Amino acid sequence: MNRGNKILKVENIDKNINNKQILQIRKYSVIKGKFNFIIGANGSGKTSLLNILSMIDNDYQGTIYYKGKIISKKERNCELRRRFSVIWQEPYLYRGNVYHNIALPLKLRGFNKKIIHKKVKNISQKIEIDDLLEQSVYTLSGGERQKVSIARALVTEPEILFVDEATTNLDEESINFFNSHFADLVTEEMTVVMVSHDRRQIKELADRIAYLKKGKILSSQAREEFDFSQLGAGICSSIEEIV
Amino acid sequence: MNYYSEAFREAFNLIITLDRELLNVVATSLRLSTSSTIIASTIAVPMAVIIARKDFSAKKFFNVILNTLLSLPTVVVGIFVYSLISRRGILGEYQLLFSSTGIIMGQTILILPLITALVRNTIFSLDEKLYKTAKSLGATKKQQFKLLIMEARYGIIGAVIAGFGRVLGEIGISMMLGGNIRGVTRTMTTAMALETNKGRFSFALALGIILLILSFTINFLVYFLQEGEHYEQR
Amino acid sequence: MKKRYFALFFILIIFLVLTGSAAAQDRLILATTTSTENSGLLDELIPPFEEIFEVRVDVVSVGTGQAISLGANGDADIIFVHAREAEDEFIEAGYGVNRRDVMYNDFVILGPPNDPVGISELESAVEAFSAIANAEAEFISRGDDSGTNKKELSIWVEAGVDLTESWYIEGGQGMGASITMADEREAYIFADRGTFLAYSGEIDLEVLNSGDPVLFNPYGIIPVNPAYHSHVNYPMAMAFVGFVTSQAGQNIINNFSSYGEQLFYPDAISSENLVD
Repeated sequence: MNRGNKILKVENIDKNINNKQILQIRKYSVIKGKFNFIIGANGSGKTSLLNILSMIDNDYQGTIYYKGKIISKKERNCELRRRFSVIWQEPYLYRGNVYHNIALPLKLRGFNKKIIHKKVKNISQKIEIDDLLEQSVYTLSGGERQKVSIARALVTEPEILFVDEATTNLDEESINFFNSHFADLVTEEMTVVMVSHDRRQIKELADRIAYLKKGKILSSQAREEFDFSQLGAGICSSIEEIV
Repeated sequence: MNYYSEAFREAFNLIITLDRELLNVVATSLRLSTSSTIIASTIAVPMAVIIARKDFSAKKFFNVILNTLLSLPTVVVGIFVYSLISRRGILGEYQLLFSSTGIIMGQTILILPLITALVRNTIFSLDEKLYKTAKSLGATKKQQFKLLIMEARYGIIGAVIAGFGRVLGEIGISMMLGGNIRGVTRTMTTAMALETNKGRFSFALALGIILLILSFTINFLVYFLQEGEHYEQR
Repeated sequence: MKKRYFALFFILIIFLVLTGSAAAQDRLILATTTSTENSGLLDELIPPFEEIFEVRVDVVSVGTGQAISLGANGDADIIFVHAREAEDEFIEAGYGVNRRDVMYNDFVILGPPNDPVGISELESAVEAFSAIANAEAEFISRGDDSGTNKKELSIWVEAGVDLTESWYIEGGQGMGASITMADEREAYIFADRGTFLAYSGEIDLEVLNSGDPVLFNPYGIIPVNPAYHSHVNYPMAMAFVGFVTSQAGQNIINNFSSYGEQLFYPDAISSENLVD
């Protein structure tokens, strides 16, 4: 694997909260254009790692590389973050209607109204929420809220898409929609970093899998090489189904 | 009883015929209250955001002080500012006493803690995820602040209106720092005190009625805003 | 677009702060007592002066004690009060110069129409006060250290009465509120004639004792000493003294009436120089 494929890389990460060590990672890379999965038990530090990779959390010791270049704390600004998008487990939607929320990242980037309109229409049709655009976000169901947040993340056509257990709290129907459509929504060039428990997602989407335990990366490999037997009970309990 | 019903009739007459003196007092009051509310809000909102969002060592102490200042009597603010802007005070040379600026200073100080505390509470009650999300959407520092303000807008507007209501109805500061000068610093409340003393009861009553209508409108607006917010969240 | 909003916002603030403070005009701050302003006399006296001298007179009406301290602090340019002793102290301390007598009005003793103590029969104010004290009839005092209150207390001292008894009530309020209070309680009260006249339509109390020279209430006008407070508008203050003590000013005072009665008697010029 050549260097250029590692779009993001972290080294010697130390993250503490209230003197308690949350993460201690010697090395971890995100491979360009792939689905990079991070799995692990609850509290193993997956979300913390995602926050560091997406440069939302900058309060830690260690080095982060983007396309082979060290990114200092100062450089982890919105200009860089604008190449990324994040889908959270529980999305936060801003006061107003659905259209406003999907358009928001484009407005922040200073796009003109026409382009924003076109892009929002386009993405909401793909995610099948174009009939909800005028609705207040407070009237939406959990599944609809997550769809809006997915549209909001994808509308900027991010270089890297971070997904943090996007389906954990959703109903069956929404999970099915997500699983059957998500791969189509992601373009060839897009890199995905995904925290997930869902075995179907791991089975169908994962290119690479990193296993996180108590803040440390135990292994990070291509899915074909990944040793599922190392996983304890509770994480993807039926390993056989995955392999 | 007859005397008072006559006074009420006269008071309504003054309002309906848009008595010039009456309008002048009301306009002075609104002008001063609007100025001090705008100035206080411009300072209070960013201050509230800092108190709510930033960690600094004196924060607890600061919050205690803020809560104490909330119930500050107007005369206390009045005497404090008076000692500053009197000719013998530190700011004496600027001739602020008995001017609009003097009242505005006092009123601004009066409602600064009120608006700050109310906005702080609003920001406290917002979802923590808002901040992470704003960052993830690629907002600059300025845009993050703006998004925060937009999310808290109902609470902030409510706080500002509450501040406006407080200055509109206060008398201690207007009297002490303004001196009740006709056409300059004579507000609705000081005029009411004066006219009642003068025995011109109907004029004072007319002002009382207007003040009542205004504060009813203000409270209705606050209620409407809160309802609007609840409606939106339903 | 947003910049324009911002600019508008600031223009609004500046506009709001500046309007009404009318910076360019010459300004004279006159500190006086509430009762003086309440009488309405200043509304007659000031406008012609403002017109002649192209000045704006800002009247700050407060208690006598505060009016004098406003002058002492240099917060007013001129004071117009009625408390002779305090005025003399003010000048002795160097705060004021060129005091002039302007006019006088009088105090009256009010009481319920049936006059249970019978003070209307008595000649002097001191006798009336003694009678009230002996009968322990209820008496309302303003108790606010105002000029009226000081005058009242000086009469009590002369009558040699102990004021700690329960019939003596210190209301701590202005003249109008105190009169209303006395009316509700059918009590006696010491008041200035002007306020009484303003209230006479709505109360039952009547003037029971008046005319004793001790009840005369002289008004003086004193510019603040420019040697002590260099910033005061001394020329305009002297112009105002000149105006109110001139024939024109004194005539305005002489012709001023309230509820059909003359309230103030000018005494800066001799009476033959007054015009009706």
